[in-house]
Order: sequence, then structure tokens, then C-alpha cells
Amino acid sequence: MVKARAVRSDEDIIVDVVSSAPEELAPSFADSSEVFHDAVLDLLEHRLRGKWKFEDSSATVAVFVFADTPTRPFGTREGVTRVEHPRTRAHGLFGRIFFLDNKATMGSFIDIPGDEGETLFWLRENGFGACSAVLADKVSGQASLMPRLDDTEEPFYTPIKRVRRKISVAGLEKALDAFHIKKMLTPTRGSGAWARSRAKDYVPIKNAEIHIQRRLKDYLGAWFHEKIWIEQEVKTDVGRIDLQILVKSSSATLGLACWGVIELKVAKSYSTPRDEDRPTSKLTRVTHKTNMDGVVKGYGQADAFACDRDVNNSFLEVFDMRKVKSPDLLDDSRAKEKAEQCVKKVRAKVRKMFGSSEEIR
Amino acid sequence: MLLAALERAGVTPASAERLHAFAYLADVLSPVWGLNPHEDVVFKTKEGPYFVDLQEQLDHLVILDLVHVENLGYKEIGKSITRVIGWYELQLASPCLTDLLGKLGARASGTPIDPLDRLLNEYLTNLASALSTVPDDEIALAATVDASYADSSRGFSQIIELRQRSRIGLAMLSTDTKANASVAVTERFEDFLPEGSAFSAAEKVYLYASYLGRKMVANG
Repeated sequence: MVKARAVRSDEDIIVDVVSSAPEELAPSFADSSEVFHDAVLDLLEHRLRGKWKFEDSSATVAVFVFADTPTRPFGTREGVTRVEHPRTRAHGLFGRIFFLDNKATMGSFIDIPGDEGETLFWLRENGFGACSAVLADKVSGQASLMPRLDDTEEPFYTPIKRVRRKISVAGLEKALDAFHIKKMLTPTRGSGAWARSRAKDYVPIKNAEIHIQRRLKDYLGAWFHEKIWIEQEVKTDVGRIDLQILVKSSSATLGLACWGVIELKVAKSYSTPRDEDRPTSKLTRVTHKTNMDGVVKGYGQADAFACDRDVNNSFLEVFDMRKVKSPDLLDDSRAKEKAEQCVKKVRAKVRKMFGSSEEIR
Repeated sequence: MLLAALERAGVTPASAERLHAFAYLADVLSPVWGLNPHEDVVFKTKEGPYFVDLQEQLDHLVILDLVHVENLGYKEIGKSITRVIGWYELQLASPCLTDLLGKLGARASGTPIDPLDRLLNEYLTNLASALSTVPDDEIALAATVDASYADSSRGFSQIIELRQRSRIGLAMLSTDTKANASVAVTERFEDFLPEGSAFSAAEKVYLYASYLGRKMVANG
């Protein structure tokens, strides 16, 4: 007798798919360095919990590169060892350079050629300058997260044993303060928002706001690790949200809910000249009214986006790239009036940026 | 760009079947990522989707030494139709490939000529990664259980329209790219979430790959 096969409806299959999806299923953005950094930190933390069981005691550094061609980083499979799911494998991480995909599950590795201390230089020399990377130091227990290997700025340092920061209004404010002080306060912090060699003249780059937005997105992603996900330039019926913060839906193991929105504005003394890096290019002054228009508009946008997303956490971050930091942008009557008109409470802050370290003093 | 995404997901060399199945699923799921399908139609065969144009483009890329092919052969899939089989991957030794991929937004370095290409690459890499768990010998089958492909109103050796089009003068306008059965399935995933929460586009793509795997098992 032939047993009848139970026919499964499409609905049953969909229920199975959703209910059995891994809890850690997270939004993945293939070109986002934060996803790669998180995946590598997960791998490192997992091995740390195992007390570095498979490691060679003489090796102290491991480098992980988010590569365009992870299984053929040098254009060929020769000279590299293929690796799949390094988390489950018994080979060591330290003393090696791993070239991996965005989830750090697939790729290849080589032994560090020469001196461990020269590894980053070696990678830049070998065409990986534009790649995101993580450098782990077994002795200090620290990892350095680099959105680009050829960035001159200081990397984001984090203990391999990570602190799990939960998102809250106070927590986000602390992260925003840290981002300002560590990344934006002076050009020596490597803000990258000033035109090359013209920071002292207070000349911003052309898309300073977009640049800061991208940097903040990466910074917050690293700060909160996998506790939040951030989307940039999110289209809505009322405009584009600069940064939207998503968290796991509290009532389910899967799915995301919007937690808050961040609107960014840049106030400046001069508009960016066409030839922004030429020291003699003529500068056009930006009026106080134009800067205030931006701030007032920012309040309106932060409010509208919070209403659209039905959240109460709305932030307006004004990056002050003006040469003279007065008058205060939030103390202006137009700004105060607009803030009072907002349906949601918009938490606004001015973040002063200085063209040189001397001026901050 | 398809091969660059497969390379980034670590699934190269890719069989011709994987490439065509990947191209098909990329087209049919493109509205999930807010994109339009690249091809207008696909030829429906029992062995899985087959794009004549894509194969021709691949042949050209092989001749230009931008793509490397191994174990090239042919397979009859109908009375008068033969499809090319083989294993493909980017010819990374080609001197102009890196620059070309940079201009297509498929490299960390380089500026794409069309900024939207970055988004397209992001989508293709996520999909390639989601489908990487399906073995090469099952990938074509996975595409045949796709909700749009399996639609019984279209028989084998027929054309499946990937987007409805209307002609206005000389302009071709996409009318309703969302109206396909595969996208509808990805939207049904959210029916099982609490109100106020949603899946990201990447999650939907990953869940759809899992759905295809389960459909294959269910269909025996």
C-alpha cells in the first residue's frame, strides 16, 4: 500500500519559514561595514569565550578584511586557504589575515606576511585600501574597527568582550556626545567634513551633511553593536529621514520596529567653492538667515518623521561648522517658536566643529 | 554584476544553471528592493529559467576575457532548443576588470557611473548570499518552485512576463512591477508579525530563499 503524501499548503510553508527563522536574522546590508564589523566581533567573542583554544601563543594580531572577492583575494585561489564558517572550525585566527564576506562566514586566509605590526601597511600596498577591516589584538583584548583601511582617522576601538549597550534616550545622547567629541570636534579627529587643507578657513566639503550622516551611522552601529540597526536616507511620504533607528520588535522574536529618527543639519560660514581644495578659491558667505532656515526646517522634518513613524524619539543634530559660533542657533526666536509648534518633542543639540585644535582652546 | 555578486558571496565558479536561476530570481524579487527587473520576459522550461540574452552576453564576456568558463558543453532542453552548460567566474586576471567593476559600483573602490548601481549590487549580493546554501544541482529546481515560475497559467516553453508594460508613444513605462506572485509571498511573511513591526528587504530575501528550500522538499 502506498502511503499518501501529506500535501502542505503554501500557507503552512510560510508559517514554517517565519517561525523557524533564526532569531538573529538581521537586516543585512552587503556594503555596510557595520554588518561586517559585527560579524567579525561575534566570531572573536565566540573564540574568546573558548579561551583562544586553537590559537598559536606567539601570534597576537588577527586582521579581517571585507573583501570584494573573498575566496580569491589576489585574483587566484592559489596561495590562500579557503574557509567556510570560521566560527565552527578548529583553525586559529591570530597570525592570519582573513578575507571574508559581509557576514564573515565565507572566504579565505593567509598567514600574515612579515611583521605583524606592518600588516595594515601591507594590505594598503596590496590594493585593499578601500576595504573595511577589523584588527584584533589578543594581548590587549581590543579590536579596532576601520570603515576603510586607507582612512587616516583613528579607528573605533572596542573590547573583544563587548559591552551590550541597550538603546535608550540617555544612551543615544551619550553616543551622540561621544561621536561629536571623538570624531567631529576638530579636523585632527579626522572628521573628513572639511575641504582638504581648508579647515582653518572653515570651508566644508560639498556634501558635508551626507558625509557626517554616513560617519554617524557607522559610529552608532559600532557603539550599540547588534542591538540596533540604522537605515540612511529612508524614503517616506513626508520626505527622506536622514537616519532611522530600528530595534527588534519587543513583542516578537522576529521583525523590526522603528525606535527613533535623527535629522542632521550643517550650519556654515561659507558655501563650498567649486574648486574646494584650492587655497585661493573665492568664498561665498552663508548668511545667518540661511543657517536658521536650515535649523527651523530641521525641527519640522524631525517632527514630521517621528509622527510618520509613530515614535517619540526624535533628534535634531546641528553640526556647527561656522567660523564664529554665535549667535546660538537654538536660542534664536524662530528656532524656539518652531520647537514649540512640534507635535513630538524634538531633542535638539548644536555640535560645534572647529577648524583647528588651537581654536577649541 | 551577477558574477560579481556571486563572487562576493563566495559561490564561484557558478554553474550556468545557477547563473540563470539567480538572474531570474533577481528579476522576479527586484520589487522587494524597490528596483525594476532587468529583463522583461523569461523563457519557462522544465529545467529552470533560461535567458537567451544573458547567455549571449556571457559568451561575449568570455570572448572579451572578462569572464572565465570551464567544462563548457550543451544540453538539449526542448525539440529545437539547446542550452549552454558550464562553470563561470570573473576573469580576475583581466587588466580592465577591476576598473570596470568599480564603474558598475561592484567594488569597494571606484565611483559608479550610475549611483543606483550601488543599490543594485547590494541587492544582488544579499540575494546571492541568501541562495548560497542551495547546492548547484538544486538551484534550477529551486527557481522552478518560485511562486511566479510555478504559476500554472503559464506552461513550459512559454514566456513569463517579468513586468507588465504599456506603450505610450516611443516610451516604455513600467506599470505595476509589484504585481507578481513571488513578491506577494514575501509580503505574506509579515502577516505573522505583530502589528507595527516589519521585515527589512534583506530579511524578506533571506526568508524567500528558505521558502524555496521548503517548497522543494514539499514538492518531493
